[in-house]
Amino acid sequence: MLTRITGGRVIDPAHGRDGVGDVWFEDGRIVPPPTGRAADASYDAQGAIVLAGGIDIHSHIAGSNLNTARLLLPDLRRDGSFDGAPASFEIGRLYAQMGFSLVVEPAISPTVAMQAQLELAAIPFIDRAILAVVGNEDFLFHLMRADDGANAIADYVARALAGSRALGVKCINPGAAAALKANARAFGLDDVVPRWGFSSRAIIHALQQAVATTGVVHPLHLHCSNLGLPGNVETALATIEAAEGRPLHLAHLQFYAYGTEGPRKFSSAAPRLAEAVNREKNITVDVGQVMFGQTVTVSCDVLRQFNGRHSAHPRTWSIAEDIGNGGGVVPFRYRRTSFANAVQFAAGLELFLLIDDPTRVFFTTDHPNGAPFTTYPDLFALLMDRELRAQWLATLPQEAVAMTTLPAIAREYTWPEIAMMTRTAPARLLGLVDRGHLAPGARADIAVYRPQADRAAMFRHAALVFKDGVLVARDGEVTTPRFGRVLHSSPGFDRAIDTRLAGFFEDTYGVPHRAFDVAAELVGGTEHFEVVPCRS
Amino acid sequence: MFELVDAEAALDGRPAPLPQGIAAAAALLAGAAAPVIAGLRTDAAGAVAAVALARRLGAVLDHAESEAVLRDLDAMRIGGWIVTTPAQARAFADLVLIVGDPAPDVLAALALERPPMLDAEQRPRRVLRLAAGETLAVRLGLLRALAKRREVAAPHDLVTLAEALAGARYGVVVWSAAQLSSLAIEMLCGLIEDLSAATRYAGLPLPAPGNAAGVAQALGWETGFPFRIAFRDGMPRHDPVHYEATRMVASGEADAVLWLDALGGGPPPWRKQVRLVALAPPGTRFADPPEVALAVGRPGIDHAGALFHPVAAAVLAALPTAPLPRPTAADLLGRIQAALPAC
Ligand SMILES: [Zn+2]
Repeated sequence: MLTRITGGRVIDPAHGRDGVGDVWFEDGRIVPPPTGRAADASYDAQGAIVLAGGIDIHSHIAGSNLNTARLLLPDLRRDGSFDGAPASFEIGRLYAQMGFSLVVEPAISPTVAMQAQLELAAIPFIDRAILAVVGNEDFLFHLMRADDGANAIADYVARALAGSRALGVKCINPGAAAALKANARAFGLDDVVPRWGFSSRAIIHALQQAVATTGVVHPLHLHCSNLGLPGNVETALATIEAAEGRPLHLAHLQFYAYGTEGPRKFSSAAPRLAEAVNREKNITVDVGQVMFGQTVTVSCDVLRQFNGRHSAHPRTWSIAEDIGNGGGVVPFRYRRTSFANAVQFAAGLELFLLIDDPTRVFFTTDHPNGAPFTTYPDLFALLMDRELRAQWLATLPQEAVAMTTLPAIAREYTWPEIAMMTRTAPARLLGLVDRGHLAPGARADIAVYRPQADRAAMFRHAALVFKDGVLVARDGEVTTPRFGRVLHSSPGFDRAIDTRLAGFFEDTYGVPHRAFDVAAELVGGTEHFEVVPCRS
Repeated sequence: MFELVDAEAALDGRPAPLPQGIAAAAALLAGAAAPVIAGLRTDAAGAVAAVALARRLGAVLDHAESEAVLRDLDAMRIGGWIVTTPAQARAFADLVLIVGDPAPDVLAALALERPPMLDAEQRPRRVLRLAAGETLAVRLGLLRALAKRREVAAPHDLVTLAEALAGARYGVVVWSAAQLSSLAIEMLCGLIEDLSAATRYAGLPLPAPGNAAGVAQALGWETGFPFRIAFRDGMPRHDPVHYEATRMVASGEADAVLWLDALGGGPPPWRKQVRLVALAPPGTRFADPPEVALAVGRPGIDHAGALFHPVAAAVLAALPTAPLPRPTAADLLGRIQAALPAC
């Protein structure tokens, strides 16, 4: 069926397109305007904005941590106002109605990948992917000591991607989960894992190199040490420096944008971080914006969650250790009246507004850690409107606002910048050639927004959303559920790593290593998956 | 006594072709005012299909072992908990405290007779035991006081135990919720929390049979809640007291039950007569023939299925050990749903 979206302002930064025009698609793909054929269906987009489908590179939408959050907090969910841990189906519905077509779950340990893939299979409308977590396993440390370390680690990483059906590699507070098992209560970039002697820095280097060797396009996706601590900007700056020009993605940078200035020894250091990101072109970041309200923190940074468990609101939590990272679930409420939470809110916006390249900064709230993803519409509105920011700032403790530069920042995101940050750049960062843009050949993943005075309302309910050329949402109402694909990488590796893993797992853990592999036939079959090519 | 022999289906104990069994099951459930889907001993796909059917029927969902799972969940919800997996405990725990008398299979996987391979010192493990029983919660209260170095009058064995516990580098406390009260589990979690102030401790709640933990996970992502869910207007509600299957049958609130037992755990525990559709593996014996019985394949034996792996403590793929072309629970539930009259 040939379909035409007519007369909208089409914004596709990937091809420098920004102007009133049409978008045509057929059989799930964008096509050039045909000659001599009329559209079978036509949608009027006059006065509206036409973008590719949104892509979220970092949102916790599946896995045993998130599912524990569901089981931990039934009372919060009862009145329907808590979006921290929706059921899988609801995740797909809520993303689709905002005009999103792909979401990456960034923290799945290979030992729990099977369940995560089952959960992804239950999320309708959107495409999904996971990142596999490595960096705290004794097997990895064992390889780091081996003579053939570098090659073996690359094989191990590729094997983890294959077993998990993951798109890329995540590393979460490298070494800290291992150190916690030996009763460490703090772990920085140059602390070493007891017994093994490897620093966080050394683990990051080893994994950056391994990712480069595998050819996986998405760079190592790093959750740094010292998350949330006053003064941790030094950790983030040192980590950026430690990358030495090699590609590195820093997750939820806002949680590392803290100085120790002011009466409470807690201040925003976002300007310093933004300056470093502006300078170091190998670095990409997502923000992890804090928005006010009840949420739940779910993280494989088990040390951080262990240390933070007593700040739970409501007062319930779960810390679960495992072979590698393990994880923790700590519900939390960000309050407008809280000095610290107000500084966090402002620091996130400072990062968005002071990092000048919208291809290297991504819009996450680290759902649900900074806020549920359902707050994106408010976040986009804040980025596009300094008056709105001023209104929000006026409601916050002024001594907290004084610890930030936000009131002085005039920048407003333009539509092309929003399109770049939410469509073009994420597709490039993940190595996707047929998503995030609207040129012929791209998947017909399209979102149409109808501008209105309340920008957040516009983003909350896209006027039209197409996934693979099928209308899946209209004015915020989804259509009959359909399922997208799960994207993963499939780099080659030396099968000898299987033998080493088998021996280690059987003996050390009493479970065959292969038992952890995702069985494609139980999660939708091969049609359900799509391989994203590696660099050759 | 009725035994489901190697027939695809049986109606009131008489063998019938499968399509007839499906039609009869759909008719029985469609005609019920308050149907319950119980047992739920099935794989992830079976649980997902059961949710879809329950949503369509407005039925209640409960698992045969939900009591034990909910006891653990309650302890987590009330006070928070620190837990680990058997695989991790096997590799790290230098001290293991076994509470009560847990089933031996997972204990065997801990290889307690060997030193923990990833422990710094790799000395033989200390394995301690604490008996379950009515006084357990009180004894745990004393143990917590001793762990916090409070001055309390406590029996000598508890004083010795408290001293030993404090000496662990990575201590693991093992229990089976089926054997303990909610209060005792809460106290164990509190003890672990107290000991964690100075050293490392984690709980190891062993999973209940019948893939209860795996089904709780599946219901979690499908509905946001574990067992004891009712669907009203398509929306799930969770009430651990009200939506207990055994209670609903005993009180007469439930007028039809779909008993799902793909893992061969046996027939329903209640004696009261209730209209029954049973999905069970051949060989299952019932006191009276169910109105509708359908033969179902066993995940991990007859066909591949995603099941909670008791040692990994994760939902993993279980490949068939002796593949048989029997329908899976998900197949049968899907066919029953498709055979329901249009709403
Ligand atoms: Zn995250």
